[in-house]
Amino acid sequence: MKKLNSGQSPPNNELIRKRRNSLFKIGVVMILAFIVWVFSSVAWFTMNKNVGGSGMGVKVGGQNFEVTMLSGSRDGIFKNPYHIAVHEEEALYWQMTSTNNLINYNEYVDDDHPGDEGLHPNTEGVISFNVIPKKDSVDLKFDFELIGYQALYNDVNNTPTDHTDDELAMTPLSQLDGGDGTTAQNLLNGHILFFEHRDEVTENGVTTVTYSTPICSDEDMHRIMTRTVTGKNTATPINIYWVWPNTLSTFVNASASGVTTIPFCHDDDSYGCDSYTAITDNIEHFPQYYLKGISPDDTVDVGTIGEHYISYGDMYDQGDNEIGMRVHYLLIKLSVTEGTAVGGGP
Amino acid sequence: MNELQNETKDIKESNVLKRLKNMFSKLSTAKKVQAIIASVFTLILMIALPVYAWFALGGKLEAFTKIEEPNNLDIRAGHYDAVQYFSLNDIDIESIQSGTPHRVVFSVSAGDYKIPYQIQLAHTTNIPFIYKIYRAKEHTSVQGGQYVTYISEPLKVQGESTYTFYYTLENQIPLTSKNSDQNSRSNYGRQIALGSGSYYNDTYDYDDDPEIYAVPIYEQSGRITYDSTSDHDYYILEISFDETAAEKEGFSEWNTADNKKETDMIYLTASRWSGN
Repeated sequence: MKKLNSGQSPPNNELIRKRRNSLFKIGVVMILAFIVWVFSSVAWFTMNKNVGGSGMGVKVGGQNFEVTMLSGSRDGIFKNPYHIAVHEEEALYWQMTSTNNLINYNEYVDDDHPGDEGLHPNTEGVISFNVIPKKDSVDLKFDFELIGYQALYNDVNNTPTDHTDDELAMTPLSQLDGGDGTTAQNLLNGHILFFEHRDEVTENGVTTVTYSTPICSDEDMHRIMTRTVTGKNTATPINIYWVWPNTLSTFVNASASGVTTIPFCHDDDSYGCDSYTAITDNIEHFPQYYLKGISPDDTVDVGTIGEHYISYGDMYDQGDNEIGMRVHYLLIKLSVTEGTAVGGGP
Repeated sequence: MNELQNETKDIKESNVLKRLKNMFSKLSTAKKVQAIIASVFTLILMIALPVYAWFALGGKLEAFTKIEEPNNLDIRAGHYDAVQYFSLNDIDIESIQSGTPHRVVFSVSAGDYKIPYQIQLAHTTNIPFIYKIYRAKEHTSVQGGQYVTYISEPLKVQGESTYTFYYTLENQIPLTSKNSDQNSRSNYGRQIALGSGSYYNDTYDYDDDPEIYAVPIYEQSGRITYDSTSDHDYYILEISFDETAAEKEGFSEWNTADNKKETDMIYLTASRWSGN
């Protein structure tokens, strides 16, 4: 810039002209280079966007990894018309199998076989996908977000007796009138829990299930998991174990109130994570994710919950009810990006 | 544009680059600086847009499911406290006999949609209790007439100053017994199935015969609509003692069958109204 400014009083016109010449040449070359670069980027962008089709062929991803569905998977039964209405264009539909779903797999057959009705308290399961690294090792960040929707039908043609022409309107909880959905949107973060590991031990005919490494919601209601996936061009399945616990005592020790349930998270550092502390810390930080009728500013500690379980357990149950009444459909958004991994392997 | 055309004529150069260069050199210094800044910003935009799009793409997945609708009918303790606070202990037979029935308050919420419902009561009859259900109204101060005092423990835990509530006795809710044999066995006989004409009548005569007093009587209210003056519907369960039960016709079993039992099971439920 300084040299250009010196053009105000040129000491040597020829020299200035040469400099301007070279400056222009460089500029034009750079512009051309950028245009070429942009076009190649766009081409690549378009290529990856084509996620249509089914089964193994479907994939999304960046340069260094691909995300694909489990083999033999198919769309969930609530896709049409509900999911389609809220679907983000470049996202891939997460497909389900008979053993790997969100209670959204079996279709209605008849009244004796009504099919899957979705999540409710005291349900659990696993949903999975494959990651295929395009180099030997890739650090990935998995960002989950749960968004609740109400499905309402508007009588757009003003024909109150005929509901066949009513228009479906999917409204996210955050956009409900008067902030009516805020409580339920908060509660989704603490009632539908994600874990990286699930273990099952059967001893003397009694099966004990342990969940480890919770993927807890942060203050922005995002759940972040990081992991390093290795093996160039090899599909590594990523399993997300979801739980909607029936009661608060299934993951908070309430023995001080005489509750004998043993929490399904242990504090023994299995998988390198004190899972019990991780989840109870999350309750103390964000009580509004777990309990109905509590404000984010209220101080809640796990010891008090254990001592006054009747009150707090009830606030949890009321939270279940709030979700059930407010949320009709649940969208789980996952965004996989490259990032620094700190978590353990699969 | 005029300026550009003039320039072109003047310098008579066909080379686009040279024309551009000349245009540039003719500009004042301030214009030159502006032009450079504009170019730089354009370049930044050109870089930023595709790069941003690439970040936003990443690998995105969406899963979708339904949330099953709950049975939105809650039956709870007084002041709509958790049902664990509904307590039937300390039933004092002596004070009942002296004319003070035992009364406990409970509440029902029909949720946001205020669906019509019915109350159902099933109980075994080891003790000849009489059960009645009344509507109640909640007050925060002592009322005239008959009322039930209820202390809300959760409010006490939360450090609230007022946690005593008073429930006045309103209309009785009529209950219809669904399996009693009112003809031959007063109100304490039981049909094996409604309208079957077969009755439980003996005490363990055969292996498959349940003890008559252990077979619950099943009673139902009619259709109930919500109390529009209150957030929740409140009820009082009244328990009194039938002193004459043992003398009733057909109740010889009560005297002869070693009736030392002191436990009864009571089931109180609210269910969605499905009748007409």
